[in-house]
Amino acid sequence: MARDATFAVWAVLGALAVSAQLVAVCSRGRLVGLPDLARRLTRARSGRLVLVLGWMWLGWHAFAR
Amino acid sequence: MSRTGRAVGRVSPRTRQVVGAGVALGYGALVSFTRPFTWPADLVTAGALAWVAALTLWRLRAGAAAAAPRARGWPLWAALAVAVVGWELFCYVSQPRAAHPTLSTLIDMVDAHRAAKTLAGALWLALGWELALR
Repeated sequence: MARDATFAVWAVLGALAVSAQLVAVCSRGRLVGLPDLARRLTRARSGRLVLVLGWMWLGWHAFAR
Repeated sequence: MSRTGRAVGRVSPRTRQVVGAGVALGYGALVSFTRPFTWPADLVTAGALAWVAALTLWRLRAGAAAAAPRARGWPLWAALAVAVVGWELFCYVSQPRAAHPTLSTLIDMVDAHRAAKTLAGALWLALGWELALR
């Protein structure tokens, strides 16, 4: 029961992310989408570095360890 | 310049996209044949990490771009990120672990299927390319 509820929360969070991106696409710039947000963050060296390090952690965790 | 006026040696964006997608899918397929906690998985993953690290350093040397105007609606994404991190932490410290699957559990479920792991590997590599260079 708890396991199903936990999966349900993960599904809701995923759906929220997808919905937010769809709204951003349809808003014609009134709401920033995730790719555009990432692009803005990578304009700064620190932003690019943080995102790349996060990407590295994700990949290592997902595929190697 | 060729006789037709096209610049010789230039690759069209479309061709670059197709080649890039092919490389990413090939990498994803390679990753899908590895198992975590083995040296092939370490090697394949470390290879991608090293490649993206090199691209990032090269890009960082080129300098930062001009600051962009503040993005509208960024608090929504910040709130979503806080919610995901908070839920992950809650699941991580909750007992029993089997009743509170974390992101690692979700990733393991994806990695259990070769096609899904191939796609995940390809998307991960493509994301790294974008973050390093765009």
